[in-house]
This record gives sequence, C-alpha cells and structure tokens, in this order.
Amino acid sequence: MIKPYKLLFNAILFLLINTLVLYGASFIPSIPISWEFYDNHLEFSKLVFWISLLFFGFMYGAAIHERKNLLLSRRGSYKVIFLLISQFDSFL
Amino acid sequence: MFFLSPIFAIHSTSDNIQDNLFFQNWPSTKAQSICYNVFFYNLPCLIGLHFCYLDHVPLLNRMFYAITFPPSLQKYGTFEYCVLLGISIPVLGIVAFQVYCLIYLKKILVYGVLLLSSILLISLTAYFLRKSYLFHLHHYFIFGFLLIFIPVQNVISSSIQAMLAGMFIEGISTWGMDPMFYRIRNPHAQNGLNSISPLVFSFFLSSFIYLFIYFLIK
Repeated sequence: MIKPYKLLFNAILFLLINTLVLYGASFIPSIPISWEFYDNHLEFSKLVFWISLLFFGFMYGAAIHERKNLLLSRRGSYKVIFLLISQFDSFL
Repeated sequence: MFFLSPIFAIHSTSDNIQDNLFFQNWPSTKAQSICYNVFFYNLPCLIGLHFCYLDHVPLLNRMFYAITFPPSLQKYGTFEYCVLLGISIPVLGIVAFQVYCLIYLKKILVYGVLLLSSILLISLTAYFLRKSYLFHLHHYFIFGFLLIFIPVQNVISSSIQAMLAGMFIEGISTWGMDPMFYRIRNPHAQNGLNSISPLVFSFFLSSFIYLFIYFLIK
C-alpha cells in the first residue's frame, strides 16, 4: 500500500484537478435538448467533468495500489476506451 | 444509461431545479454549482476510491470474504449479525429513499423494468451456462451497474452515486475489467447450450426479454 503522505498528496491533487476541470468546464455552452427521457439542457460541462473524474480516478486508483497505470497498458486502455465509447449510445 | 445517470446527478446552473427534492432554490450561481459538485460529487467519489481499505478492517474482512467463498453465514456469531444488521438498515433506507425519488420524478417504470430485466438476464445466463462457465460478480460491475439507477439530483443521491462511481473506478484500476464468466473444463458440457459464448447467449436472450417487454407495454 502507498505511504500516507503520498496518499494525501494524491488526494489533494485529485480534488484540485477535478475542481479546476469543473471550473473550466462551466464555461462550455450547453445545448437545449428536449426528448422524452431528458427534458433539459445537454450539458457538455457535466460530461467533461464525468470523463475527467473517470480518467483521474483510474490514475488515482492505480497510484494508491502502486500498480502500473491502467491507462498506460495497451490492454487496459483498449478496455477503458471501449467502455467509454460503448456507453455513448445513451445519447443517440 | 451509464453516462446519462451522472449527467442527471451532477449539478449545473441550467438544471431544472424542480427536480431537486431538498434545495429547490439552491444552488443558482456558477460558484454555488461548482461547490455543490465538489462537496457532493467529487469528495464522495474520492471516499469511494478508498473502498479497498475496508479489507484492512479484520471483522469486515472475515465476514464478507467468508460469505463470498465458501458461503458460511451459519458461522456468524451475535456480534457479526449485529454488524450485518447495522450495515443493512442504512443500505435499505438509502434504497427506499432512492425508490421514493424515482417515484417523485416519475421514472420508476423505466428504471424498474431496466433493473429487473437486467437481473433476469444475468441470472438466466449464469444458470443456463453453469456447466461450462463459472460466474463471478466483480465489484466494479456491481457498483457500475447500481450507479445507473441513481439518476437523481439531491445531496444524498448525488453523494451515493459518486461513492458508487469511486468504488467502480477503484475496482477497475485495481484488478482491471475481468470477465464475469470464466470458462471451466467440463467434458460433459461441450455440446448444446453450454458451448455457446456468454456474450452471444446474453445478446439473444436480451433480445427476447426486451421484445417481450415491448409487446407487454404495447
């Protein structure tokens, strides 16, 4: 397991990066959308935040177990990219 | 659905505030919206990312690893049952609250049908292919699956969804996305249904289930 000071450093970095992503993404304009299931604005800022959370979460998870980063291994990255793309059907 | 659920739960200033059970007049500005997301999504997600640290609690380790394989609920003493009850009651409360939220937002039918049909699909696939495939529910799958059923924006639901997202991410980053069905060597199960891949079997089965539901609703 990772040492406590490294864990704290990673946790602060994770929170800081995602807060910055949230702040940056809040400037992205939204698209008005209306369909039966999602009668609201399609917020790209939320999508950007969620993908950033997944991406940095994978890195954080790999870091706390001191394992090779999942996104840097070819097999792992294919799987994560497949997971992300396969879920986009919810917008179609 | 996996992407739609966080989009419902994460806050932004142009959201329909009537959907929020608790704070129908808050948050309204960009800064408040960011604060909401940091405290009720980002922070719980970070907490969920430390799910594996529960392994270091000896009692929980003994209780839940013992349940997984082999099943040994009968070995539990009074203290273990009390702990189990102490965990179950808040979980049941959260489930009841979530069902209430879905009824309030008039989404219970869609999500109810999706949940039940998915459970039916997984159970039937595991049952019919039991002779040639060993079924194992990984925790990344359980939490990623449950995350879909919390498409609600309020303090409790957003936090719970973020914690589930954290546990899901932690599962993948620790062990990767391992398959749920493991091929086992069984000479008596080489023919017929057991020779089919779980992916192909579940694809055809899901087509039947969703066609049945479609005609039932029509």
